[in-house]
Parts: sequence; structure tokens; C-alpha cells
Amino acid sequence: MRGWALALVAIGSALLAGFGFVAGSVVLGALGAALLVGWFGVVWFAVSDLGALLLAVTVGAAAAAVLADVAVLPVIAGVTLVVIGWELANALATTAAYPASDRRPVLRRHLLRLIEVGAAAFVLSVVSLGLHVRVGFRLGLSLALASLLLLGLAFRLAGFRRRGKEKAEQ
Amino acid sequence: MTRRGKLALLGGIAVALLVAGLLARDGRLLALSFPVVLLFGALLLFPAPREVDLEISRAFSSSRLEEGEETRVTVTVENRGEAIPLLGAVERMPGGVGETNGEAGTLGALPRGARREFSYTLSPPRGAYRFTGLEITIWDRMGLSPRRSVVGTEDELLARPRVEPFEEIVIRPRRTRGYAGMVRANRGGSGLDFYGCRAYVSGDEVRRINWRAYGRRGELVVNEYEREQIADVTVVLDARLRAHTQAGGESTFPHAVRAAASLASHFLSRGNGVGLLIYGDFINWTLPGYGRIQRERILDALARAHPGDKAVFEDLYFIPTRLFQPQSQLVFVTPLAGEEDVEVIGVLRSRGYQVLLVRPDLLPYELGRASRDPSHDLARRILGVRQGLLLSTLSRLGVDIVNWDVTQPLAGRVSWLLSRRGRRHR
Repeated sequence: MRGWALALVAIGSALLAGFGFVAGSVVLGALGAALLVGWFGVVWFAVSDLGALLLAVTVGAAAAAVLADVAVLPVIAGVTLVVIGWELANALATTAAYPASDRRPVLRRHLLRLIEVGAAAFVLSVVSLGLHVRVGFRLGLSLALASLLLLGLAFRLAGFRRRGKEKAEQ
Repeated sequence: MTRRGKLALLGGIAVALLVAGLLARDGRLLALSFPVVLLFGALLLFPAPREVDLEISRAFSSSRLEEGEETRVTVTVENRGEAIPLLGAVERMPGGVGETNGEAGTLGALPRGARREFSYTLSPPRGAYRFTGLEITIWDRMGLSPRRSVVGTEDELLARPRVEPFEEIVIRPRRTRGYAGMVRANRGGSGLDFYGCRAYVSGDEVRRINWRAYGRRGELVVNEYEREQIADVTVVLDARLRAHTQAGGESTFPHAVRAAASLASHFLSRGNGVGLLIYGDFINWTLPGYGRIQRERILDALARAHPGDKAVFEDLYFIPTRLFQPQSQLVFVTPLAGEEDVEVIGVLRSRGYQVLLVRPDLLPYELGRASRDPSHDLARRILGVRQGLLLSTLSRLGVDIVNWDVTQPLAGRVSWLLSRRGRRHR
């Protein structure tokens, strides 16, 4: 399964690097290549914290590529593959202590679910690119604030539920 | 990475992309956020089950074994609560237990009422090992957010020291018990060895009359034989860190423990009452007793023994002599820390205790490893002279000494030096 994780992050980073170069941006291409090397190291040596940092950098690089008019679909595909690869590498690290015979089917199932989520996300992205909604300043600001509010609410909800359960357990 | 960490990371990235997209009024950035948003949503919607009711049991094929022997550990995890989509259970191995053979964990779905089992084998070195529980990880249906906890029962595994059998150890304590045994009691009675003659008294067996003495003296005289009885023996294991030498990862302490176990086992097998004092970390006293159960108690205590460096037990001066039976046999297993130990043993001799000293000696092993150079030769000579002085002082005090080169088996050395033939040849 490590091979799968390596292949996913490698293809994802290579897509970013390749299309960066194709679009004529040496900086984006070089950044993609550096990410490719970084992801190889992270997956191979199972460095979980560095993986989180690399994921943020990868998405940042993808956003920069989109803004620099690199073809958007390969970039979205690249990010999707990297996200799947990152999660698979996490699962590999978490299950490292268990017998290989037990791990294999579990990881295979996990990979299939991740591919399903990734495919759904890609389809949604493609569909959304076809939609044109005019967003004014007020609507934009409202949406931005609403997204922040939703994020906060999600955290609050998760935290609240956890504390409630802990109190009940006590 | 924990669930909270993942939520924070993915949520942060998603919001950053959404805000950037809105600020730049670029829908492509919003489209880019979908893979991250969907994973974030899956994490949020499918938390790992919080309330789990697991029953965990651990069984050893043998929970008391001799060091180096193999035991099979079987762990069973039974789910008494709601179905768990994915459960991982892995053994928390106690330190120093050594390599395991087999799988020390399991991973898979655990429906309500189902059980999972795994087993592995261990062959630990001497010691007491406390198994504190299993590390349980539970995943959600998507397998995205693991939740870890430690669940389980505490169990103890004792790897006891290896016991070497001895052929014969002759001890002569001043006081023995009234029951028949194998220690010569320095008193006339029924036995095998000739003890002396005395005047015939009514009730003496006719076959014990010494007819030659009667012929010479004209009055009836009977032969007496030395009585053989059981004795009280206290094995004192020196567990002071400063007394034990270390060289190249080897220490005298495990050898001392093995010697104490072998000696205690031998004296018990001859019917004697044996107690054990482990002097070092604290005063670890096993009350004197007889038979197989006492042997188990002593071996259990020795399995748990470890060297200590408490300042209060730095010297043997604080050895609690009130625990020893008066004029009984003491068996010291110590590498000797210095002259002060000799002094304490001398005091015990003067109080009427019979003392046998077994001294594990690591010097031959150390010399075998050291390179030949003049400074090593000088050091060896100084150490040899010092040891010779200590041992000759003890010998003059009437202490039976076994200086044991730990590279050689103990049984041969002890069986020869402390046998009747060996004592005659000294």
C-alpha cells in the first residue's frame, strides 16, 4: 500500500509541476518538483507532521497555479490525488503496529473509499466550473463570513459533543 | 494524526481557499477547494464511536517460567457493546521482555458480541513483567479518524532464575532443628557417622553395644552415631548496586541471583528451613519455610529482585540480624564491596552464625576481553592482591568461601569445594 500512496502523491505533484512548466512558469514547475521530492520523503519515512505542512503548501501552490492561468482541471486532479495519497499515508502510519495480514484488506477498503470521495470531489469541481454565479461585494463578504462561521460552528459542535460525552462518562 | 488535527488542517485550507476565491472573485479557487471540503465533511459526519464496551482477557500458557523458557500469550477482545467498524488492538509490551514471536496485535471489524484473538510467544530474561493493557484504536466507518485508548486487565509474568542442581553441600551450623534431616548436628544419636562411646543405660539397643570396649573395660559401652537433622538456612542476596561489578554489558548481579536460587533450592530439597533476604533496594524478606511452596516463594522473590542504590543500604551494617535464627547457617551471595563487608561477616561469625560465602567473580571474564598491556597487568595484580586479602581474612574467620568464576558453571565449583571430599582436600 505504501507503493499506492507514493504513486498517488507522485502523480499529483507531477501534474502540478508538469502543468506549471507547460504554462511557462518556472517557479511553479520547480515548486511542483520540490513538492514531489518532499512527498516522497514524507510517505517513505512516515513523517506525519511534515505531511500536514506539505499538504498546505501543495494546495497553496495549486491555488497560485490556478491564479497564474495554468489549466485548472489537471491542477484539481493533482490536488485530489495528493489529498488521497496523504490520507492513505496517514492510515499506513496509524496501522503500522498491526499484523500485515490484517492491515492489507483494511487499507484496500480505505483506499477504495478515498478514491470514491476523491472522484466525487473531482466531479463536483468540474460541474461547479460550468456554473456562473455573479457574486457582488456584499454577497462575497457574507459568504466568506458564513464559511468562517460554519467552520467555527463545526469545531464548536465537535468540541461540545466531546465534552458532553466526557461529562456523561464521569 | 488525530481527528482534531485533521479537522483543523482541512478546515483551515478549505476556508482559506473559499475566502481567497471570494476575494479574487475567481470560481476556480472555489472549485479547487472541493477535495478538501469533502474530506473535511466526511471527517465531521463520521466520528469514531465513543462508547465501547470491550472485555479483554489475557492468558499465558505458563505465567511462571524459568528464564529463557517460552510462554504463549493469548489475548481475546470481545465486544459487548455496539458494533465497531474497525478496531485495532495491540499489546503494550513491558520493557525488557525481549523479542516476540508471532503477532502481538489484531486489526479488523468487531460486530456486537464478536471476538478477536491473537497470540504470540515470548522467552523473556529473568524478571517480573507487568502487562498493563492493550492499546485500543477505534476508527469510524470511513476509517478517517482513529481514537486511541488503553483498555484491559493487568497481568504479571514471572521469569524466574535458572536453578543449577548441586550434588552435595556440607554445612555445619551450631544449632539444628529437632527433626531428622541431612545436616550433622554435632550430637550423639542415630545416624551414619561414628560420634563416640558412652556407658550403657537401660533401654539401649543391644546391637549398639561395643563388645571390644566391654572386653577391655569390663563394663557395657555403646557406640553413638552423629545425629542428622534439618537446619535453618538464610540465603542473603546482596543487591547493592555498588557491590556488583559490570563489564561489557555483563554484570555479576544476574549470576548472584542464579546462585542464590540454586542454593536455596538445594537446601530446601534436603528438607531444611530456608529464608531469603534480598538486601539492596529495600529489605526484601521471605520468611523461612519448608518444601515446594517455599521454593516457589523464593524463586518468585528472586524473579523480582533488582539492584538498588539506596544510601541507607550502602553498607552491610544495617543487615537485620534479628531476622536470622540464632547460630543458624547463613549463605551470603555477594561479590563483596570492600573491607567493611568483611567486618560485618566477621561480626556475624563471632555471634555464632555459620557463614558460607559465594562470591561471583567477573574478573576472569573482564580479563578475557581486555587487551594485553602493562597497565592492565598491573591493575589485574592489584585487584588480585586485594581480593586475596579479603578472602584470606574471611577464611581465617572460619567462613566457607566459594570464589566463583562466572564463566564456569557454579554447580561443579560448589559441589567440589563444599562436599566432604572437597573439604578434606582443602
